[in-house]
Amino acid sequence: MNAFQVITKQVAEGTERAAGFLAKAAASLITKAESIPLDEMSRRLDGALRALRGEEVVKKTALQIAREMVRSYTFDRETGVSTFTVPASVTDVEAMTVLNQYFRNNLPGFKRDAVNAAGIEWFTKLPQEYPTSCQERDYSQARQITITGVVRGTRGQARTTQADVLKNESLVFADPRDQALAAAIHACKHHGEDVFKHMWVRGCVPGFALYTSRSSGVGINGSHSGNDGDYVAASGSPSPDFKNA
Amino acid sequence: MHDEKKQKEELIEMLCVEVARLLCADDVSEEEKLSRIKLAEAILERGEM
Repeated sequence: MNAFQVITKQVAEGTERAAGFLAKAAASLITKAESIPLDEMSRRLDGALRALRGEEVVKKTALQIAREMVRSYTFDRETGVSTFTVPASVTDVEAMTVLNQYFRNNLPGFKRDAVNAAGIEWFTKLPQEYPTSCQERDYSQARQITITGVVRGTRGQARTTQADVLKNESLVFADPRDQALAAAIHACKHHGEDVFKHMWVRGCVPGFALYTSRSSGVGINGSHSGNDGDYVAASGSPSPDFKNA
Repeated sequence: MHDEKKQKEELIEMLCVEVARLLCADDVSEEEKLSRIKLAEAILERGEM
């Protein structure tokens, strides 16, 4: 007798344990599960099983998720390597959505529709071990995403070479917000659908490298004098609001 | 398509096993059982935790 038969038998017999609404609720749960598409179901099942086992299930709002990701940022200005962590049970698309919402609410200096997905590959790289297909990723676990900035014209060259190019021009890599957001975009790129449709990041990147001078805002395509490119970001250091969110 | 159906059946089987285990648990109150089932249902339905 399989598990489903056990439940239906208990319902039929009206046993004390599974009598009445409890067994009906269980049957309803399984009926609903049957109507969920496979790819969605496999993603959601882990949470459902945890709930049934009575394990801690944390309900998180979009803002909480965004804050967790923002807090997890690390950035090495010299090497251009930054990381952030997507919390467990949050998909890349969800991460992208909440980040966009967060940036819109907290960083009005950012210009909407600023970055084109087609330009992302030129200035970000995801680690090789990170599956390019969203379906291959394990969303039930928190996962750290590492982003490596790429300097225009130096793709494929050693990191030290790329860093030297910037150094010779008195530049450093862009701040973590740009890098992390770019990584979130890139992480979603291979999902098979246009996840950018309603996103903040869409538009045109005139150049390949995204970097900032040591003293002013973000520049693009060789510009390092601030907000004179199509891409406009908050200038100067990351705002206290952002850091303390 | 056949594989998908089979995979889905396996996932539902996993769910059934967990539900059956919960229903038969002596150390969990009826109220708690219902609460867990409802929470699992919400997670499955909305994909939220």
